[in-house]
Amino acid sequence: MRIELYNYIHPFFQKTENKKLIAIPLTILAIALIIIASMTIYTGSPVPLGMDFVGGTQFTVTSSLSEKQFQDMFSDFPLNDIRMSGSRTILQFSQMNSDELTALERLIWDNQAFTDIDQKQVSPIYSQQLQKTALYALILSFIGMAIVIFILFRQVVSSAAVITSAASDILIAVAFMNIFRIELTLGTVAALLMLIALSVDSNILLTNRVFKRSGNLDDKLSGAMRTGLLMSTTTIAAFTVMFVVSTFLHYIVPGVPPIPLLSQISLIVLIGLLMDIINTWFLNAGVLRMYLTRSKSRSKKGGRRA
Amino acid sequence: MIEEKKDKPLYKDYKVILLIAALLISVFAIVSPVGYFAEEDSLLNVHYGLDIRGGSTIYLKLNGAVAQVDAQPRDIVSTMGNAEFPSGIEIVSSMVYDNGSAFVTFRTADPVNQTRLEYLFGTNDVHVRRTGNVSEVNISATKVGFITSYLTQAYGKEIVPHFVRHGIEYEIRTATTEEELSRHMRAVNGSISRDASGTPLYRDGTTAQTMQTTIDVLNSKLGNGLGVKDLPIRAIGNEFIMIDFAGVSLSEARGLVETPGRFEIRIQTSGTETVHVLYGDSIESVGVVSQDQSTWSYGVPFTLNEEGARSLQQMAISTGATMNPNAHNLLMLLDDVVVYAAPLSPSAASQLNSMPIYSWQAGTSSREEARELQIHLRSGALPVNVEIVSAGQVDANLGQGFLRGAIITGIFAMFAVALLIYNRYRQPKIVIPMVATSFSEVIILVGFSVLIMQDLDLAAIAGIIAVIGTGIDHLIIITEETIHEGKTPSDKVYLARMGKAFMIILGAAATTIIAMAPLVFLGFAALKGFAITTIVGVFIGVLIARPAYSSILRYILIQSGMKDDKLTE
Repeated sequence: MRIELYNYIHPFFQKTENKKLIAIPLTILAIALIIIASMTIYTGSPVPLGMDFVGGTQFTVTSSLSEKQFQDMFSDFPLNDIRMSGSRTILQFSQMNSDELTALERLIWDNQAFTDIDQKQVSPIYSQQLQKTALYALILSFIGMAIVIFILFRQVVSSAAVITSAASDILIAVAFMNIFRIELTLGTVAALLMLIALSVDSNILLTNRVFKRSGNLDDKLSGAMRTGLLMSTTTIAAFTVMFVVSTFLHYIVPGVPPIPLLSQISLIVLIGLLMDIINTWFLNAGVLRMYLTRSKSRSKKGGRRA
Repeated sequence: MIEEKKDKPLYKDYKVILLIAALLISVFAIVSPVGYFAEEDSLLNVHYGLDIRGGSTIYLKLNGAVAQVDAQPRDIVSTMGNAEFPSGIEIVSSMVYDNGSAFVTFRTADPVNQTRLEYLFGTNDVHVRRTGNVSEVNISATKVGFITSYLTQAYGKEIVPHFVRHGIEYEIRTATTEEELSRHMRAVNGSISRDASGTPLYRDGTTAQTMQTTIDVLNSKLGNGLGVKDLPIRAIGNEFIMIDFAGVSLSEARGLVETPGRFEIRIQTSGTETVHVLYGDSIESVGVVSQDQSTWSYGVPFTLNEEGARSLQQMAISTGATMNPNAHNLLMLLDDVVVYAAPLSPSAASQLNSMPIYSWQAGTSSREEARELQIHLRSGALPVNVEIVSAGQVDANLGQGFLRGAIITGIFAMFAVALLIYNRYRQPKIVIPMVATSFSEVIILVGFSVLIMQDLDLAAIAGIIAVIGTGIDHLIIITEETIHEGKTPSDKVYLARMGKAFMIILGAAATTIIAMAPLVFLGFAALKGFAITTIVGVFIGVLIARPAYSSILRYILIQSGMKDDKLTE
């Protein structure tokens, strides 16, 4: 027997009754919503906001200094946060006036102890603008996706199941951002948008196979699951490689620095895609199985509507 | 077996031909040493983004606002007059006509400087009649002119009225808020206009035209400083500008943006000798290029401040330019390079003998020359106040490392995907075409980015990897429909199944395109490359690569005798 995700998920799907099946993703979604809601209450924002969205100055350098040495070195500057990963260090400073900034830049760029310097600076005005734009982008993108789904299926139950499943992927990914303190940056916004697009792929496959094909419902569901899970695993594989290379490769290969943008994008997409497996094959498939078997038994009773 | 002859050879299938043509064009675009897209100092023509090449990026905010306002000329003159004349003024009469022209007459006991009033109210139509020790002043202008003059005075910055469909928009070319403008308008019993639903007609930012002028000025100024033509300067919405400086450090880039070009006016004394008159900081505002209705010549109006106007008068008299204008050209220099030279007009020369002139017009023979001069005049000052709101710099070494990482990611991702596919199908004749198709999608995508001169930055590379991911998904859907238990069905069933497969693929592609579209239109400069790459990648996949793959796969399966005509659904 070949090692395929299908061989593990399908038996569980077969033997579990619909309500239990649907309960699993809905419970995860509920927990995610609680996390997001409490974060919003405590911090005023549903996700930890990165520098792109709060403003400040950030330097990323390669050096052999320790955290303590960094703190001493920048004691005169508003150093907010130091994050180290191997020889790479990210230094985050809050807003400074231009004299301070120039002094800080000179201190860092002219210092022989630092190499491969990367500097980024965002003012609060611009970061607020970016926050607004990011929110618009996410909302517009989600609405656009929902419209396409409705046009595609022209049926309330299946469209709603797909859209709920996609929304759930994104909300759970956002909850994970809170748990792992992954900040909302331009990269993670891109990842969330990509998730909106990716999360509906296997759902579209499932709904299409179930409604547009003739045959036994169980066979159609199994066939769709086999194809869909293969699709998910290949995408997950591509993003796992991206995550590993951009996050860990620098420990082994010195010529390749960590790439924060790719690391953030791949991590969020990975979490979302893993959730998508549960949301597609438990939630969406469960709802479809329940809906189709129910309407069949109803029509057997005499089809009151007809 | 009779069916065999029905199958077209692969090289005659238009889907396959299209894929091969697209591949050839892309490879040509990537490696060709000639063409508008060719990179001179690199083997491949790939235009890498700044985060890979190394360099700095600066985001500027244009401080300004556009609003529709209303106030009466009478109230404006009353407020401005009382501020101008210590003993105050008394309004005698005023009128606003239906065609928009207006006049206001007032009396004052103070001495009246007619030129000063002409300058204040931006009109040549000021009449002063002095009887005893009281002056009666009549100012004629348009209502728009009065409001513009008032706001110019209130903000000390250029205000430009624009005629739009439902009224007149005043562009305030400096940082302001709705509250501040409202306060200024209340001071003259005026207000910010509202639309039918009661929303104030006020927005931050500038008009598209001003945005373009700012970009032109920055381009000429920064281009001069760096010795490059056409810097990548992009507008983001109507409020922000993004500038990429390849290979320039952030401090240098910031210096270039913040230090204005040095604009100077000199007067010729004799031969090649010239004397200094004023610098760019004396130029208060630069108007829009206009054409003289009688002489058909073009001109750029500009105004000087008090100091500049007096200095020009003084130097014109002392050099003798007022007596013999043609022997004493007025020269304009930008960073010590002469950009304009012309004598004073006879009327200006004679007027300068008695008083300073605030409003000037530099005449040129063509519209292009005038546009250029306008930009030069502005190099002393951008049309609006700008401030740096975001900046970043990536070390060139680091960028090379990023690129290496991205390439390793691409290769290994492809490899991992191939392994998974092999695990499912166990047949090289399925895995190889699939991976090859996915790879050609990447090649075509990179080729396309070269042709449209789209920068390949890290975000765009993430987009390419996303395209590999979704592309393989769609190839799997096609494969699953083509093969059933190791066999491929008859033509009729196959075509029906392909129809269904492409329904799914098109649906998925449409959601991807719709989901990414906001990034392209919302002015998210840093992620535009990512969105465009993903969208283009989806199109290439759906229109070119995936149809060809379905033909190739089917052909290979039939050739290896895997067709089973008995197979139905």
